[in-house]
Amino acid sequence: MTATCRAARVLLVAFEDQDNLGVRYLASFLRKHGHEATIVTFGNSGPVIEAAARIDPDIIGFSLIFQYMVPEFRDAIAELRASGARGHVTVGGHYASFEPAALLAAIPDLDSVVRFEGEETLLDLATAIITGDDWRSVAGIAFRGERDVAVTAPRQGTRSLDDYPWPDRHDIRYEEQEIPMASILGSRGCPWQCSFCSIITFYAGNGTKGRRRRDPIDVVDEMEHLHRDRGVEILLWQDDDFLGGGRDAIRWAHTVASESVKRGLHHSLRWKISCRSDEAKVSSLAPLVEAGLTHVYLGVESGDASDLRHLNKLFPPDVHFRAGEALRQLDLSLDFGFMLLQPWSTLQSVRNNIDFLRRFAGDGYAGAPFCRMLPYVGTAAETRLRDEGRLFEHDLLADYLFLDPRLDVFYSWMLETFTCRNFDDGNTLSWLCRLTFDSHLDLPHRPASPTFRAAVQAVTGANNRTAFDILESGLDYVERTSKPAPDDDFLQMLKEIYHDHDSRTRSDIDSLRAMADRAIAASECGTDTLACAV
Amino acid sequence: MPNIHRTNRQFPGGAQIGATNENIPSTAGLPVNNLSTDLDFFLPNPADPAHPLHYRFLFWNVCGTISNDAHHGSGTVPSSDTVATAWYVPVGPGDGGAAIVTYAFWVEHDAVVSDTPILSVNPAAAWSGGNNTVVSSTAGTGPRAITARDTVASITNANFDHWFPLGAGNATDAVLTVLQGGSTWALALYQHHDGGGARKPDKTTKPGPIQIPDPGPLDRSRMIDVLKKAQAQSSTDRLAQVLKKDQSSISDDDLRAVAVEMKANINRQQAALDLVNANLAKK
Repeated sequence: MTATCRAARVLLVAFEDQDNLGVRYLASFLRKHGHEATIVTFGNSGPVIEAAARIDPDIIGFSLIFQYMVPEFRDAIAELRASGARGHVTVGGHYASFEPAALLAAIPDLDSVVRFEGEETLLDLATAIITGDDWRSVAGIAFRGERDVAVTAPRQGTRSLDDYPWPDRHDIRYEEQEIPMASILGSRGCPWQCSFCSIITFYAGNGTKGRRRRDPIDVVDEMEHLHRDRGVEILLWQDDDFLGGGRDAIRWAHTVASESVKRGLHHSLRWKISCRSDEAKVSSLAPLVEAGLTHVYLGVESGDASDLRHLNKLFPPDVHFRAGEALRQLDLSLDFGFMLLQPWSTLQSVRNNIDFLRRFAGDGYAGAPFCRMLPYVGTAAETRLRDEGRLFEHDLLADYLFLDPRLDVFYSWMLETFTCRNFDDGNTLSWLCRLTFDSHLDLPHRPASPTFRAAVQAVTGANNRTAFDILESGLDYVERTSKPAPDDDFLQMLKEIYHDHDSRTRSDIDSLRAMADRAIAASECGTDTLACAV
Repeated sequence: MPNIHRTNRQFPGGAQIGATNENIPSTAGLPVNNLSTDLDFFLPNPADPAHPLHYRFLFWNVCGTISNDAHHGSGTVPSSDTVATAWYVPVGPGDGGAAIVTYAFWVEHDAVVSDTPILSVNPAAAWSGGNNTVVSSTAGTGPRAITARDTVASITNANFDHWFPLGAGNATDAVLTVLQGGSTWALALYQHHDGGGARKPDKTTKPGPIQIPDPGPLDRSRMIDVLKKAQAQSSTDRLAQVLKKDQSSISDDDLRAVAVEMKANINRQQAALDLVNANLAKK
């Protein structure tokens, strides 16, 4: 900021379940340059309007993570304007970056879109607005031009991540959490080119490619600050692939781990990371375990060889089994992403995926998710579907039909049957995953209980296996029936059976939660039912 | 800003019934007044389309306040996410037995737990003790005085608050009194006293990774259609339904469904057996 201009007042609005590091990096960057930044969580327009009335912001920046939230953002921004807010309204995020014209058309009160990484762009925008310069000349934005949407030059050569200050977390009340848990980022970007993912194209839009890692010592400084000054006990690494980038990346991760151990953080700080199956090896993970790693999110995505080729994962299904073995050997808890269906699925690939899930998670070591690939903007899969003339859009959401119409029936039935398990708010699977995470967590004041862990695995296994049985029965049905429909009696019966089973799993989950609350290390078993066993 | 998670659920298991499933943004400390729901609720019955499934309203749990007026559910919004649940019971032929059925209801978790809430009953002959939740209306003589336990094992950090009879009976402090021969259901409400209200079920005091599947499965474009459809649950198991059918009308799909349901039960039994064996091996 120059000496001649005042500080800009920036209000950042974001959905925040875990710490939203995206807007928290923006806030710290703005503050570093002398501006004022306030973050408000987006739930509805009320708090945003209230904050805008209090702050009178020069800029109101919305972070759009989920494309389906566009109508809610549109309404909130309209209410904001109606309440008298005069500031410049902008939106950033993946969807906004790739589809600024669609977003500007959908949100009439929007002034601009910040495309790709936003730190420098938002800073320049703030500076231009308070100095009265032409903000339309700021690089990295889109706005309504006289005739059409104008897109300014993309930014190139983003600076080293070490130039950014740590994310602004001053308003997060970790002390109120039972076990304080913070998000942290050691890198940005990903070296891989999976066809369903837009990470690589997002960062390419900002003139970078691959994965940029922070100085590992600075990373550990931040970890130490969070642990010693803020009381954080669990770190959720938000790096898209914590081990991605070959030997250099492994060395980087091991440096973070060894420095963390050297400073004694491993005694009472635990980690969760995400990585690919071909990176989840004992030799790579063991030093991280010593430093506190307890949980890994594995990008499994598919267990069918042809699916994996369509997804451009660049390895065969066996790699997943080896990763699963490595995690079990290291006693790490696990959850994973899995797309049972993708646009080029066949009945056989779905069957192979169900078989894979049985082998991979039939023992209940992890809750088994399954969903369908969504064609997100900026992905190779979306481009391919568009090229094949199979992509159609409604309400800003892209969709497709399967090549085999029986799979559309199967998918509609699957969605209806397993919404309570996989998809809706507070779904059964999320509980099983949380309990799995919990059961592996071993902190000085909260030692892990092998009995609790066995009980969680038993409940998870029973639920997984029944889900797989029902998926397989549904698939058999659509295969043997000439014109199957989701409402066919047999499919509805399968749905009822699963819902009944799900209710029992929910009851087991209540028992497990009570067991965890009581910290009982031994269950009392006297009967032959799972409900009593847990 | 807390959200109120509004659903209809089947008592006592908690399965959602119907398509109502919404989050209502609310303001902490403000009252929620006059939530209204249907006294009777009907859903399509896939097993017997001519006879829709019929549910009868039992009670509201609005932000931790229990009431039995279907058209005036009210409560006060706490500082964190909470629930507004209309609890229903399936209407169907009962066994006609004279009994008082009790349930321990965990208000904050908006759920029935399996523990008995009963500490003692007078006359003693009316209750068989242990974890039995049913009190006979005919054994012994005189009114049944049912005293509630202050705490039960499955409910942590909460104590007995009051009885909420869903039919006959009067409650004074921890004692519910029902006349001899009377049949009723009664909730024993267990509640924290921290003013927290009912928590939204997906919020836990336990930490855990907030799962963001890869890619996010919230398939809105189709999910919305799904949620619009009514969902039905059977009240008897598949085998019982098949056995009631005319033998000549039993189809291959009927038998396949029985097999799937049996396999689901076997999965649970197998998991239980594995767990029991694991525990025995440690002893």
